[in-house]
Amino acid sequence: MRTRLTVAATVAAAVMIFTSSARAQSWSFPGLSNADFAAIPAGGPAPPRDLTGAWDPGGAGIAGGENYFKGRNMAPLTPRGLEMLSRNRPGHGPESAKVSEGNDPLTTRGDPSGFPRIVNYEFRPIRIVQIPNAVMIMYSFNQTWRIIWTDGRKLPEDPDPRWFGYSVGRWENDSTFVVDTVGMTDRTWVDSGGYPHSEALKVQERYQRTNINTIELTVTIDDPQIYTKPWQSRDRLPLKRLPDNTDFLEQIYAASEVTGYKEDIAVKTKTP
Amino acid sequence: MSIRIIALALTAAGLLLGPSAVLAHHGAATFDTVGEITLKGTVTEWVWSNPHSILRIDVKAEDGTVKNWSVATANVADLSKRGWTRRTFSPGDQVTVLIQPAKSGATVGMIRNVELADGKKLQ
Repeated sequence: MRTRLTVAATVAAAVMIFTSSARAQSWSFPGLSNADFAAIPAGGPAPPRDLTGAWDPGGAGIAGGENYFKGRNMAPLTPRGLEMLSRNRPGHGPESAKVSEGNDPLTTRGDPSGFPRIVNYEFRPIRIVQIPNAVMIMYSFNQTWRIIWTDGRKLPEDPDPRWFGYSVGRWENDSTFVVDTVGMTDRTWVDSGGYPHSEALKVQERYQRTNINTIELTVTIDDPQIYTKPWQSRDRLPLKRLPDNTDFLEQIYAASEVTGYKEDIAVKTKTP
Repeated sequence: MSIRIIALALTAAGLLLGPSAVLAHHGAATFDTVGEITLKGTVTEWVWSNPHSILRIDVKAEDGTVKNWSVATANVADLSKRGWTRRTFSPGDQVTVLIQPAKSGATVGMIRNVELADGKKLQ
């Protein structure tokens, strides 16, 4: 009797959670509010070796705010890193410039976020799909995707730089999926704070599914040309599960829109 | 068991409450502003876009001259979470907007909150 009641209550709770999370929006879900994000329970144990589904990194994923910059321990920059940083005029973080002077490639020119910035800024709801030889991550922000090969191939030795790099993944155990990425163009920033990287950058992501409703993501930035030691841009960032049928809002930083904002507002705020 | 049921009920109640407080993540994208002013005027355009949506309003000064202001708010996703839509404003709507104007003196600024003609407030 007790077991049956518990099961029934759990099912009822799950139904309520999924109904509420969707907020009766079958189309264009913009992401969980902070309250809804916090209210999603752990649920039961995670299925083994499975990240499939729709996931929301919540407010911390968006990460333009100061908490992102306070809540981490960035490694010191090398002389080359400092030189690159000096050319960047970001809109967020300790190096913030006035918006009339900003040169963020994403928010003032409409360049792609690239990787790893896609997980360090405007990290909005994602959909993960597993196929036999790869894991696909589809990002609602800028409607973009990555393929992480799981077929045992090695990373390329001398890759032509790409916006999103080259990724291979493996299951370290039944709950932890580890992704290694190389070959990212140095035109992208690590995050919205203007922190640079070289094309020697290596990034490791660890996706740990801690229960049925949660994945925790840790991202390690390893770029000895730019940073004196590896550091974590994300440290166990929780991603909460959304109903599988959630349709995401399209949120694209189109070049015409970001330059429109610059022309309409940003440049007019310049003070002598 | 009863405790568990109560806990579930509380959780469910919490989930059914309205959207949480404002998440102004773009607040740090700064320009020099001088205090806050209230603009009362007529909407000429509502640009529902990223990374900032822009409201344009004609505001009549005491001397009768009309100036068009362009005032910015958040991106489409964050506004959607707070109840704004692409139909929040139409040209001709009368609105009251609390803004932080640019120190430069240009007729631009950041929206703090708006009051629509029907009295509804958004931020």
